[in-house]
This record gives sequence, C-alpha cells and structure tokens, in this order.
Amino acid sequence: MIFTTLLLSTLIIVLVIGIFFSSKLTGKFFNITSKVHYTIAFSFIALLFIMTIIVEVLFPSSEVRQLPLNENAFDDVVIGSSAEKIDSIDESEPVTKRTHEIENQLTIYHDDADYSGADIWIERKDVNDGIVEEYITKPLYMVNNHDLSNEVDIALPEWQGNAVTFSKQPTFEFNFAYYTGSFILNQFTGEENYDLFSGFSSGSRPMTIRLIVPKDLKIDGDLEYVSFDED
Amino acid sequence: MYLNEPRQLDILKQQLRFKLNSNASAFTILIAFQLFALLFSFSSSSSSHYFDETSYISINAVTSTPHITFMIAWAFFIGVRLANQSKWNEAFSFVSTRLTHHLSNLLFMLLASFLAGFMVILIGPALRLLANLRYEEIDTLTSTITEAPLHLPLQFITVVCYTLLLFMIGYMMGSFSQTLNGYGGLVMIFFLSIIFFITFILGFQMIGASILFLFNESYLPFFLIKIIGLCTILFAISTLVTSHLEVRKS
Repeated sequence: MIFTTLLLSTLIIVLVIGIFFSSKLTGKFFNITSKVHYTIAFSFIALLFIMTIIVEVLFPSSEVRQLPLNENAFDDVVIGSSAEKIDSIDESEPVTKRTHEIENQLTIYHDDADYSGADIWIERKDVNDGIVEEYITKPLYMVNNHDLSNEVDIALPEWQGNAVTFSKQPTFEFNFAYYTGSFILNQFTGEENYDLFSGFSSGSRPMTIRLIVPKDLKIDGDLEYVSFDED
Repeated sequence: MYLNEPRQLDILKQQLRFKLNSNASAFTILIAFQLFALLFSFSSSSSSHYFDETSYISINAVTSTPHITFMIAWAFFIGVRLANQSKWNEAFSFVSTRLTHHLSNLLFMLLASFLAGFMVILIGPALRLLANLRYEEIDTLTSTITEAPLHLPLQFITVVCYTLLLFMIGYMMGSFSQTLNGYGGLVMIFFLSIIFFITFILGFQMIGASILFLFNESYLPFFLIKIIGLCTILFAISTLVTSHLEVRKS
C-alpha cells in the first residue's frame, strides 16, 4: 500500500513537471532550454544505470520456484468431483488412508457450522465389522497447469471414540509474483517467453473425505454437508 | 554567385545541431511516457483467484512490455511531429536544402532511437529492483545481465530497430499530411479507416502479417536487412512526397 502510494505520488509529481516542461505554454513564462531537457534525459538514464547496478549486485541470478506442472490436472479436477471415480483416485492422488474402530453409532460434528471445506461422502459396506475406513484426498488447486496442491496444508478430521469432528480447513493463501522481460526484447536472445497474453486459467477441487462405514452403523449429528453414497 | 558557398556537410551539421536543440523536449516527453507506463507494468498482468472462502491465489506479473509499447508510440508521435508544417518552416529559417533537411531528420531519428533504446533496456533491470522492493518474494523468469551479458546488445539492437521503424512510419505519415495543406488530418483519418476496413471488415490480416514478417524473423542479419529495407522505402516515400513542396510557406 505504501509502495503504491509512493509510486503514484511520484508519478503524478513527475508527470506534472514533465507536462509543464514540454508544454508550449511554459515558453511564455520560462525559457526551457534544450540543455534542461538533455539534463533531465541523461539524469534519468544515470538513475536507471544506478538501479541496474544495484539490482545486479543484490539479485544477480534469476530465481524460479519450480511449481509442478500437470497437464492433466484440469481433467483431474473434473474426475475428482465425481463420486463414482473416488476409488480410481487412490492410485494417482496423494491419499491419506486411516481406519477407526467404532461401535454402533457415529456422531458427526463440524468446526465451522457455515462451511465444511471438504466434500464428505459416506458409503456403507456389506458387513458389520466395526471398522470405519477413511480415505482423504488433498484439495487440488491449479493455475495455468501449475499444480499447487503440495503448497496446501489440510486439517484432518479428529476422531474421538464414536465421534468425528470435521475441522475447519486452514486458510490457503498463495502469492506468486514474477518479473519477466518483454517478449519484444527476446526476439534474438533465445529466451523462452512467458506467455502473458493467454490469460490465467484456474481450477480447484476441494478436499474429499470418504468414509466407508459398517452396514448398520447409526449416523447422527450435523449431516448438512454429508452426502450418502447409497446403492 | 556567392563569396562563401556552404558545403552540404556543413549545412547538415548545422541542421542536425538545430534539430537536436529544437526537438530536445521529445526526450522529456519520453521520460513522462515511461513513468506513465510504470502504472501498467505493475498492474496490467495481475490476477486473483478466490477458489472458496478459505483459499486464495494471487498472481502478480511485472513486465517491461508496456514501456516498450509506450516508447514505440512515442517514436511514432515524434516522427509525425518532425515532419509537420511548423518544423518544416522552422528548418528553412536557416540555409538549408530539402536533402539536408531530410538527412538531418534521419540522423536525429537515429540518435533518438539509440538514446531511447538505451533507456528502455535499462528500464527492465530497474523494474526488477522495484518489483523486489514491492513484493516479499519474486521470481525472475528472464536471465539477468550477470547471467547473460550478451543478451544486452541483442536487446538493444532489437529495440533500436523497432523504434527507428516507427519513427519512419510516423515521419512518412507526417510528410503525407503536410503535403495536403490543411487536409492532412482528414487524410490520416481516411488512411487509417482504409487500413481498418481492409483488416477487420474484409478480413485480410495485413497488419498481422506485416508484424509477423518482422517479428517471426529469428536470424538477426535478415532482420536487419528487412528493417533497413523498410526504413529506406519509407524514407524515400517521405522525401518524394515533399519534393515539390515550397521550402517555406507563409
């Protein structure tokens, strides 16, 4: 904010001075000689030169965070959102698999009453073995085919006896700032141009929690955000 | 019959000195353009993605493309200004010929392209410094000067070539408008309308093709030949259309 304010104020001041100098009106009051114009031009070039030396001394190398590329991630976003495909995700996606022993009843709670932050699916087994199987897939965040899933922290459900609490998901904030030289300058340098003009595409899939529960388990509590996979 | 007949070279030198003095404000205008471009280089390519209530991705791109675009626009504007009526009249306040007038303009445009090109290639690193101050963490996707020092002269040549070309286009347009004695503005609008009509209504990708003719060239000597050829043609047209013009109009 301070930077923007400083930048804007400097720009406005310099622009006003610039317009004043270049205006024909100034000739009536001041005689701005060509020497003044050249002094301004060469001072500006000297300033740029100093800034170039500073940046080359302080930040001599180009640095690029290697974000994993995933050309199929947009398909994954679509596939993952379909309940039928959940089983097929196990092999390709980072999945946390846990088992919990349970009696006859499961009570569900949510940390955040307004928003679950995850797709929750419950499926029943054919048997009553007293065990809940829990599969959790991480959320998927995509920007221009860059997969940011590894940057995301997730809060796993908390199990206590016959109750599970779906925790509020931590805020995920990812800031990516980059500098790139103009594509016009790179016509003969052989540098790869980052395609700025294709726009930014993005897609996301929330975390998926799938519980496979015993056949006759009673489920109660806050079921607003829970979907049942009934055959 | 004169006692002291001036040589063309002396006239040219004097004319160039005069042009450098009378058009010095062009460089102040260029700096104003460049500072204005700063607003675009920091804000034009930023985007924010709110996925849901708890997740947010922000992408901020800083690039020197707006600076080059503004410089090209400046070159066109100054090119037109160099060839307009008042500059023509000013030039013939001194001992001058049409040839020395055009040649001195050409030399001025060359020198201005060099100065502007030098300024613009230094703006890239300066932007990188500002971007490093602005953002906590910033990736640099282009090689730095320390990493690839040989890129600098190549970038300089590229920028100078494009600037000179736009100077020439502006100069030709200015020359055309000058010959038409007060109707230059109308003719310019008519000319631009025809280009618009051919390109967008009839669908001939004339402008796109002519840009790609230069922009897709990856071999520098061929690119230089194309630029020199185009500049020569444009300059020749400019001199031809003004060849029958009175040296000074009242």
